[in-house]
Amino acid sequence: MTTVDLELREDESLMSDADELIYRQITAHMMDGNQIATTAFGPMPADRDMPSFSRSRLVEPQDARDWHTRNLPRSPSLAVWALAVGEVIEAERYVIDDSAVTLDANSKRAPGHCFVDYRGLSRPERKTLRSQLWFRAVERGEIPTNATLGDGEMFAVAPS
Amino acid sequence: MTAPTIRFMDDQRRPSGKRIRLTGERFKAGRLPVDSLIELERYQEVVRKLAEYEWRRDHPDEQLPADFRALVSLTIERIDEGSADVLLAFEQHAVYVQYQDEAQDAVDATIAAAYAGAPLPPLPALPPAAVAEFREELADFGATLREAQSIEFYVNPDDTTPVLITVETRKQALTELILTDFMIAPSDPVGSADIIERREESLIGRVTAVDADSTKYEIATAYGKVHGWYKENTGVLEDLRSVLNSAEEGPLTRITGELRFKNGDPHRFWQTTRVERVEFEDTAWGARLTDFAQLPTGWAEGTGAQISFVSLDAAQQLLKAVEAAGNPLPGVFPTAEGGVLIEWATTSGIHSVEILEDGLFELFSLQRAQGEGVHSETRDISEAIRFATAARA
Repeated sequence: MTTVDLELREDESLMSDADELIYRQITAHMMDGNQIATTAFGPMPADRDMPSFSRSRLVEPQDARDWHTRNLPRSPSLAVWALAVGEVIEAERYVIDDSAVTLDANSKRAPGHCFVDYRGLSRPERKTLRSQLWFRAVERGEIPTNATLGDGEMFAVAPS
Repeated sequence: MTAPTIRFMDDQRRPSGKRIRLTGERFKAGRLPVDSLIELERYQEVVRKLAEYEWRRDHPDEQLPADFRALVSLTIERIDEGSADVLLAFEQHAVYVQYQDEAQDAVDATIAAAYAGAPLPPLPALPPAAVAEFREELADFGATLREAQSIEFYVNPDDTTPVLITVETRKQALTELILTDFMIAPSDPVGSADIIERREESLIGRVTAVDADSTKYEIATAYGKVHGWYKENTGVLEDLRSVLNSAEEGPLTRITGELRFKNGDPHRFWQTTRVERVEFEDTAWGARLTDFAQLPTGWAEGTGAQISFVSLDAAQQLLKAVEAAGNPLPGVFPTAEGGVLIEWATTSGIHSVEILEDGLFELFSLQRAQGEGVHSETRDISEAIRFATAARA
């Protein structure tokens, strides 16, 4: 791996509690049947190498899932999986809490937002990192949550 | 007594033809009163004016061609004997037909909305100051009508319920079309700013009509029927012809070009650059690749490029080889960069071929005990197939 160059912007903080879980929302295109892609734990182009997770100390997994689905209705969350901060550190990267960073007026951010820092990694290094994180997340298994209820729904309706 | 009718039909060659039908005593016995021609002239004028704006928007630094107004014009094709049935058509001069069709759609949509009491559609081709003027001109449509007379306006030829324009219904429509409070600036409905959008995009569907005279075609998609032009690229005509069939039997086809969206839905291909037949194996992964081919731009949480045909085709070849070798089938995923990820993932190791949008293969494997993965690249599909099949055999 490359040398770690830690970059913290104003109001960002490094997460250091190795046991704290960070939740990742899994959407339809990250899954093929029961298999989850390793890309699920890496960044999309829009993430600018900072894929989003939610801090377990600040938000319940169900709330994290609901927020994602209600705010990104074209890519609803189908499941919640998790990593421990220590697992990211063992993979020689780190997790940054940016939940206190001031937002632009037109921006929104999930409660308890944090990210795994992929910045500065080459493509092979990214593949290695997301694979190592995949091993850990799959070993832990899915975090139990329910499908997000629509407005006025008393119980979830299975997708057709 | 049943009122005699005069029926005006739009050019039947247009896949989305339109009817206008006049009813009333004055049209009895096949007569077409001269003053009713004014209605046709008004309709022609607003379509023509909007088409001019459309053209100017595409040619900001050019003068309107001298023949534009002459060529965007209505003709009465036929008055049927005994019933005063009049067939009306816009002349289909290929050079301006797309502007004419766009304008006609906008005029028709405005009439339909005004008489339904619905929010008027935005008119993005018009500068804001011209929107109110345009709508007021449209409000004059039907002004010659008297009691017991009507215009039945068919937005689509298959409509069974036309827009009914009478003295009474016009009163409501005028309140929609004419801005009565001059202290309020004319404005489009909320959210109209993103109503019309143009971008390079692909759509999957079945080509159900091709009109070589006007360089137009129609494709039946999951969003409904979408029309397109290929005037700038007549080379695709043969490709279009080769896939032309009914919506039930035609081959699945992907069309790429400059696509206009209306209210977020695909509306028209303004230009067509590629016509490609979508043919994947009748397998689970074939169905999956077909799904990938249909992903719109922005499929991944607002980002995500459309999956390239190069990567889909390569994925198909690779998956066929894997299946033929009797190897375990991998997970198959679209990538936000427009490629395909083929991945065997177990708790002991990861083995993957990522096909980039330009056809480059990234070969990657990582045993869990290893710290670093092994990564290489190739453009040789045989090498990618060997990598995929050997590792899991």
